[in-house]
Amino acid sequence: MIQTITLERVFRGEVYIQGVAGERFCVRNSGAKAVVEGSGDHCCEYMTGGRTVVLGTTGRNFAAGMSGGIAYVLDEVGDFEYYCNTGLVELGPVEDKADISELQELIGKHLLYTQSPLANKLLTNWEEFLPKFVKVIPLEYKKVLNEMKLKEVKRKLELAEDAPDRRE
Amino acid sequence: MESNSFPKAQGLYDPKNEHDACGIGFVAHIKGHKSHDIIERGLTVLVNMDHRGATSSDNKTGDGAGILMQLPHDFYLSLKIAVPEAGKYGTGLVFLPEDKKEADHCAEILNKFVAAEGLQLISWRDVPVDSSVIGEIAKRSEPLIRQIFVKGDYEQDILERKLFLARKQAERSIRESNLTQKDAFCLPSFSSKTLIYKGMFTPDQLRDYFKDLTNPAMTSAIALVHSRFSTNTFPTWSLAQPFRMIAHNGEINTIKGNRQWMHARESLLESDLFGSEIEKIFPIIEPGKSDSASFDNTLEFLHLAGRSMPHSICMMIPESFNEKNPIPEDLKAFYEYHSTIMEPWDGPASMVFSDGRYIGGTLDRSGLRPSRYVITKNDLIVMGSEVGVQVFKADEIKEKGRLRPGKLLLVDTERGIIIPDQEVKAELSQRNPYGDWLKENRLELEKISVRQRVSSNIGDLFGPYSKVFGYSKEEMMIVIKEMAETAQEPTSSMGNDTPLAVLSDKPKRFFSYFRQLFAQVTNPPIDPIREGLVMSLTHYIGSVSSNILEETPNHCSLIKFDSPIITNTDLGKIKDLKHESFTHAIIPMLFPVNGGAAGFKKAFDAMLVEAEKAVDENKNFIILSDRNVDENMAPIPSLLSVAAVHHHLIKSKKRMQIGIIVESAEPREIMHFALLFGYGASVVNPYLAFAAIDYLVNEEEIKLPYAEARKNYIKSIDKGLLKVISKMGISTLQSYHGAELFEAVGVSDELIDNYFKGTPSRIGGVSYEEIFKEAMIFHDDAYKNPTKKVSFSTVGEYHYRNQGEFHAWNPQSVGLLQWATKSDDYQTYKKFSKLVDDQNAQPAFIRGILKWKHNPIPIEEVEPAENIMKRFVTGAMSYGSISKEAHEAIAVAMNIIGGRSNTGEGGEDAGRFGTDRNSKIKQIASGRFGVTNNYLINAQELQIKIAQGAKPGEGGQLPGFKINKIIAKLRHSTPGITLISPPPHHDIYSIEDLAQLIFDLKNVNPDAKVSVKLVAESGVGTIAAGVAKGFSDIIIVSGCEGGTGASPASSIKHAGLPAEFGIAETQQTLVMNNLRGRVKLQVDGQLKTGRDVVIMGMLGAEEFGFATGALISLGCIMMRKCHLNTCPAGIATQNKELRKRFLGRSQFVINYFTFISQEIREYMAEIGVRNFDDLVGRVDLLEQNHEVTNWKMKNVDLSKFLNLPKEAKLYPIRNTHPNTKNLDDVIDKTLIKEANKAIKSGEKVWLSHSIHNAMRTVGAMLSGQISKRYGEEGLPKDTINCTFTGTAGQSFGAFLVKGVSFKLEGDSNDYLGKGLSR
Repeated sequence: MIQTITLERVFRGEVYIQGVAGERFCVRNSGAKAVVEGSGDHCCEYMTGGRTVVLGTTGRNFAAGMSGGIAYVLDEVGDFEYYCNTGLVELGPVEDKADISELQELIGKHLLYTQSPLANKLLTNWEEFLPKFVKVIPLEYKKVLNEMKLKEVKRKLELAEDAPDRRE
Repeated sequence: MESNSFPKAQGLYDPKNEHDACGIGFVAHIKGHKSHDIIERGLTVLVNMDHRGATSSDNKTGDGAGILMQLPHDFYLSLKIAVPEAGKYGTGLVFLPEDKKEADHCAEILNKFVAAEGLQLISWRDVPVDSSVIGEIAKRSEPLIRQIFVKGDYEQDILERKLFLARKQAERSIRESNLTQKDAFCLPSFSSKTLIYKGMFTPDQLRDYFKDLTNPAMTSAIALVHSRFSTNTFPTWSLAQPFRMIAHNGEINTIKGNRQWMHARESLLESDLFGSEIEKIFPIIEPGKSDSASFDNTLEFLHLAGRSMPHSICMMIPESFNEKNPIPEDLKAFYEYHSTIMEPWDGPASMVFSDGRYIGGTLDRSGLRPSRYVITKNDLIVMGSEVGVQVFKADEIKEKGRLRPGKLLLVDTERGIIIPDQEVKAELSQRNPYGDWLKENRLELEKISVRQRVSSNIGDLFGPYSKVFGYSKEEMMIVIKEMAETAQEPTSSMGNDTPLAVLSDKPKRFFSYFRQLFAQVTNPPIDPIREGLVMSLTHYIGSVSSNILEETPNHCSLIKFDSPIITNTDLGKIKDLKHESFTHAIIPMLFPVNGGAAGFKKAFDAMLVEAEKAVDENKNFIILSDRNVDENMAPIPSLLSVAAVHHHLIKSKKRMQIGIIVESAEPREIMHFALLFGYGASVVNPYLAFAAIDYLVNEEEIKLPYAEARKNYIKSIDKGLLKVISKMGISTLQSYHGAELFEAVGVSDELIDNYFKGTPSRIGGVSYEEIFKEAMIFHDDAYKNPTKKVSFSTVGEYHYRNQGEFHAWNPQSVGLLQWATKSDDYQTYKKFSKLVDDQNAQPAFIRGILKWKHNPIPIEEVEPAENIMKRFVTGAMSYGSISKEAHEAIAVAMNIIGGRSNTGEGGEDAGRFGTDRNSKIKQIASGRFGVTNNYLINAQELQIKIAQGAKPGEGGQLPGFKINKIIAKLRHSTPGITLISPPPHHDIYSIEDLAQLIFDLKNVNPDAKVSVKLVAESGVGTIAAGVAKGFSDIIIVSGCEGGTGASPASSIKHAGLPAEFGIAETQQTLVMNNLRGRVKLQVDGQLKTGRDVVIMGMLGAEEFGFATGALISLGCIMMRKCHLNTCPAGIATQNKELRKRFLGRSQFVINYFTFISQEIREYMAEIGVRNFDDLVGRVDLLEQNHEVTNWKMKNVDLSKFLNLPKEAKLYPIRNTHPNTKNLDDVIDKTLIKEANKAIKSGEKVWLSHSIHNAMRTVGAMLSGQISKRYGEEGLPKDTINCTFTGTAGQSFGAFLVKGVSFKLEGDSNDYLGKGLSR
């Protein structure tokens, strides 16, 4: 159990918490990876980067003013959307391969560091639980990520074209 | 004995501003088994929260601590006191005057009322105390403490009411007596159920002082405790908590309104339980006590009058119940129904309460104060502000949890159960068919049918009306147009450099004489956009809260508004209502133009008489209207009318019966509306603003259909109102209504005392005559030379205009300063400073009305300019808001002259650390952008920015398009992603939180000074006192004139006070509290010349901040385009091309500061002081220059600025010693030793420690040491591995760096991993 307001303005680093956090977990998170098993109101408020994984219910106003980073929320009941402030973010299933492996890795580390039975249950029944995760991503951030990906692909292409063996 | 209360208001100090914050908690046996162990545990909980309280300047006097328990019947039997069976007698400690005669007199009065209520005195007992344990300050006001026992053979609830009646009457009688030490008298409790011990203690002194508490015969199943951190050091034994039913951690922001509404309600109260005796209780709220005390008074009254405790609490602190809140419909109906009976007591609150049987806790809707509980297997429950206040083994614990925002936890010790929130509230919502009652009786404005539409077009009247009400070109084209087009209020930049309304010789609207208050430190502002779920503009009008002790369907016969701004047609609907619960009277706010000032006053008085008549005739609303202005009739200012009617009706106890609607041409800006609601209006119809939009649409200035433009305009006002109330930490317009959260600047005492009672006002100012004259200037302008053509005057409020309002930074002053600094010519600088000083005395600024006394000495004897320049700092302007070139030029200049430059919010390139471009001051603002451990360790001063002069109480937003790669890198964010700075620091919700952040920062960098930046407003002095007690080294008081890169125009103009007010009040308050010697004071706000610095120094400042002046010397020409990224001087822009135009040099800044210090030396020689230190706080060397005046200033009096408190003879009036908090015993010292090898050579270490909640900020100092050696890089991953077992204190793992891994087995308190850097 963690008191209110944790991980305020964190830049990098990782935190794994077996238990439930209070209000404003990961407020202004700008780069940390955090896993927790439930949260209070205003989780991920003003978040600008990093990853937040909530393996349980959240309070009201999730992701208010969140402009960067990604959150994954285990939504077993299916009512997460009501608790989320969708002003800046978009909700969707975890489908992208990179996303799935990232989430799996984070929960895996959570298990490693905390021996959480919950993490164990999720990982052993992964196929069953994966569809119950919701990915929360700010629209603006998604756009920037896509642009960065595109640039990266272009760069690789150019590099590939520049590769010595392809030169004549 | 010293007076047992706050000092009387004097100078700029006012005891009304006192705040406190605290640690609270309770221990209870759920099954109600009484034992001494429970009391012991309660006392331990207190001691374990010691760090949340504070001590006074003598370092021994606590701010207050106390305990509430069940009446210890067995203890009294063991003392052989002749008490009857439990429940048939009452008792309580009595604080009495130290003077024997007066004490006896007070006791007699109490005896008298006890007998009058049909109770029999059993005996008085001397309470054994050990006075040697308390501090000097507490001792000086220590009361005589005795205990009274009385009996009465009644049912216990009846007995409770009789004890209450006796207490209330005794309190009132003594309060109204002539006793010299009457302030000492207090009954902490007087009950047959509970008993309270409290006083001016630190937590551990409580146990030692009252010997009763350690007596094993004293038993209880309940122990509720409280320790206090207050912003003052004045002895106030009676304000220690718990109060009779509650202990409160938090602050009620709407208290002024709540108190007035309660007062107004008294005339309508009827209770079966009290019958005709109810008047004996009045006033329900004891005057002159704290916000928590007033809350307790009201709760106690509601409870004794028959409402259950949870019911009363849900009424006073309702949770948010709009659609974003997942609570049942019938509970929403319960809240909505009760919102028509009482407005919320709004503000951060964690509250624990008990009546001896029930004990529980609740949190306000935002949940800003933590509250945690543990339930053990052997039926103990412990709740506290922190986890770990009682230590249990893991296998003893049954359940742990925390209170959630808006939720309750209730224990019934008689039935031996815990009642969860849902059950409590389900029961409450079933009490009555609230939902049906609402449906049947409450009207919703939009559902009322329209009989006739009322057009916004007022035809030919628009020309003269726009002149009578002073609509300027700027207001039309910037304010109204932008709001109607974009639904946003306009943004502007740089500071406010125009004169105060009362110092300007131009006529002003009456609104301009007021300033918004805002929350800083002691409670957080709210983000109304991101946290909209707790906000509401819903409001009701009609006969609100008739008898709050009853519940009938009729209570909600009201009209509900979703927005308080109504259209002409909406107003028409209300006028057309024919229902008997919805009748109205229209009262004109007009006066005849030919009657002179006397005629004005006559019309004004008649308006008040009419309002009272409307109540007597059972009308439900008053419509105050200025619709009928013409050549013969001019308008009385709408704000004056509303406030006067509101206060007149409160005084005559007729206010609750009627709602006030304003139909006025005058309001158009957000500030205007906020003022009208804050002084009692319920809804406003701004018909001329609508007509103006209609005009702009017809002129095709606004290219939108009228209906849409009007909708946008109303929306922008709504948004703006939410911003204004959230600035103050208030969630609902309903509780803002009548809360008077403004300060008057330049209004006469006559008006304030009569119609703005409770509003701070410190310099006097305009009265009827001047207001009449102002109204006539506008009226004459409209009707003396009538023209057909519509035209608007150029006022120049926002931008400098040739014929317009005076701006301190004008083409002449800007030009002279740039010429002087570029050519390094002191004579030109003297021309500049003469121009500025003369203009200040036109007058424009308070400093221009002050002058000093002469006693010349040779200038050679005055300390050198180099010394003086060390006192200069530059303002916090981030790299991001200004260009790299400008930012570095300033840093270099300040490093050369020995002053200090400031990073601003947004980090700093690590490449600058250790070079001459390093900023000595590193700022920590609410967004914490770029605040890494390495950043902190490279500072000489760490500045916590609580508020900014231009927009105090607001957050900010840096749009994604401005964030390029470099800025994103410094801020540790992603390029292109918008960055939002929240309005509050999310780790500072109270004064003890600020103390915690200061502690964090001092741990990371023990060599740096910590400073806290506040903005001047009424009450800033008491906040500063709290900050000083929280171990800040420097306190910065910023004037509201401060500059900005981008802020809402209305915030720049209307929030906060000029720097002179802030610095003088802070100085006086700190001296009175003997805290001045511990801190340095710094001031900023439109400082330009040596004269400005000297005056500010005499008012109390030691250091001086310059921002705009420095920018101007670098080439700024005050285009006010900073928010647009188009700065033509290449300063406030990131645009590559524009930055090439930057021609500034560090040398120009150096020249400017050299000139100022040279000038200061000349003045010091004139005054006759050799060292600047000898000037600080010397208000005795200042006087008001009565030659500086204008037609409005007849009643302006600056004597409050010049008040030297009598304590100045005893205590320092400037900084004399450091404000050190001992860091020797932090566990990091051990960690650093143990990890020595790892730090030095990177060798891996594994450490293990036990931990408890008093061990705070673990890891920060260790990390600071690593940053010092390795910079941003840190150590390789997992070099230092620590495992902790137990409950971690606040800020566990704060500012950890790479290479340090912490593992915690157990719980953690707030701020885990705050500011983790890698």
